[in-house]
Amino acid sequence: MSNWKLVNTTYLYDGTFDGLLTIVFDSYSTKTLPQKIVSEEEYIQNFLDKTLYIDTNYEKAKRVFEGIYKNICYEALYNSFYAFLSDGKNREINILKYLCDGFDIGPKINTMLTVSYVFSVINMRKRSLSECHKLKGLLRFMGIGENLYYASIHPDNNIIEPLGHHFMRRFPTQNFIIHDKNRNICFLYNSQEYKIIDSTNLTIPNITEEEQKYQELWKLFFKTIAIQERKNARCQMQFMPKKYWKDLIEDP
Amino acid sequence: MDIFTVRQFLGCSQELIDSLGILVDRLSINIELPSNNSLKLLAPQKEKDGILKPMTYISNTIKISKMDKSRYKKKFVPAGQTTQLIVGATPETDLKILKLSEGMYKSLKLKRVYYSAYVSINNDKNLPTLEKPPLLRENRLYQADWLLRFYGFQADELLNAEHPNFNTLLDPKCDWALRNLDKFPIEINTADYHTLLRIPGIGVISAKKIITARREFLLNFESLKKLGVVLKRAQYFITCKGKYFYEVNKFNKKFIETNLLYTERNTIPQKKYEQLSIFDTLLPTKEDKIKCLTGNL
Repeated sequence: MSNWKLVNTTYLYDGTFDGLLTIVFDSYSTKTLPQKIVSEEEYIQNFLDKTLYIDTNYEKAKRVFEGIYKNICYEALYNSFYAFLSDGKNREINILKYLCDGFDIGPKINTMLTVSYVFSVINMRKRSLSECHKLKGLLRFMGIGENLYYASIHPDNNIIEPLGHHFMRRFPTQNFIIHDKNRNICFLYNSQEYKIIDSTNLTIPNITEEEQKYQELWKLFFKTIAIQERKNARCQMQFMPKKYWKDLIEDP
Repeated sequence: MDIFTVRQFLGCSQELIDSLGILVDRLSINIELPSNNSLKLLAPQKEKDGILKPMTYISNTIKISKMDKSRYKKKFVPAGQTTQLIVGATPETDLKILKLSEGMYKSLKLKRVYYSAYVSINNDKNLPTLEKPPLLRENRLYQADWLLRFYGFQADELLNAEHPNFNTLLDPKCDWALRNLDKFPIEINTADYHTLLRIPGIGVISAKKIITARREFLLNFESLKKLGVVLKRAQYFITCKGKYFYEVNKFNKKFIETNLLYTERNTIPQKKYEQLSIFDTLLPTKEDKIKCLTGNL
């Protein structure tokens, strides 16, 4: 990748993983590296940048997707997808470099941890996966209707989709909404299929009376079970950082 | 995903254990006190044999259920068995407790031993009155427990008859390393996995990262930092490409111990005063350097 042409352009894309894979296809076939890749929504106009909008081409994206699986390894696909979901800085350009290098080198790329972009991709994957894992245990569903449950979260990374898939497997017969309040998106599931929608104008009905009773019970349980002598706030915060506390029902 | 544990009562029949083991994920028979004398004193209804017999039975049945799959359609106690020990209620030393856990890990294949600091609630002439539960001791025991299970340490290495209890100021691994300084410094680029695990501050994750990363490039201190290996404690015990982090003559017990204690000073409760040394073995901290520049004390 060292002899590739560097172009002084900022690539814009539509913010989807397919869009990023299209950029990977174009850069790899023309052997050029852009200066920056930013999604269209996040881009802030700047008189120094030359911009180029790259249309998402699903055929190209599919070819890259299958190519990663075939020529690098399954883990690389996993790494790049979870790194894409994270909120890491310059994640797109790092993923691009990681994948393009991966096509040249093969599965060995995952062991080259001292290369900065490989390490940052693996670190970003770790960040989003660990947050996803934390929220799997920390999510609190509330009943807001007949067999309808609602949970709000404030995650740093855009992990609503893997999180939703986990709860789909967990509660296949229940209808639920997971609301990402930082990004204003909602994961809806109606016990058959799921959908991710924008939720700027969404109004959530109040919780049911039964739910109210259960919340009281849960709070009481939480208070009663705590052992005062063994309270360890530092340890508690390491497992469950304070930024997630606002979505909890109990008061830890 | 969820582990459903049953803390098992003593003296229940074998048939009950058999059917219980199919239903639950984990069984726990709590030993509570680490010696027979203490049991007689504080928990006379419990007996050493009465506890160990069902534990052996469970561990044997787990072993059988793994092999005899035609008889056991469902796994017997799939998440293994555990136990719990109370620390601080009786005068047993850490060495004795650790030896007991080590023996149980080896013979009974326990998944975990839980240590629980004694919290005094009742006043009784047999019970000690403690102001606070010995949480630091509990923490040290857990640290040592991890060293036994994941780091390949033996209980005899960590503690011996001369030091039957853990150092309150340093964690068990640092303590062990300082007593065995002849095994150090360890070269990061050539040492095998089990040797890497013996370096204080390097755990399972860091050791695996080092092993994968050094296949491609030789590592130096900077690349270790890039990998996310924490050098706070490890820097005193390793060499990278044959180089030590400080000057070579600094590699001695006094220098390392003072600096380790100094970095840990905030986490460990200790006396407020200290004896200053004329020969300065402490490295200046960031704040000291700023003080030197501004002249502001």
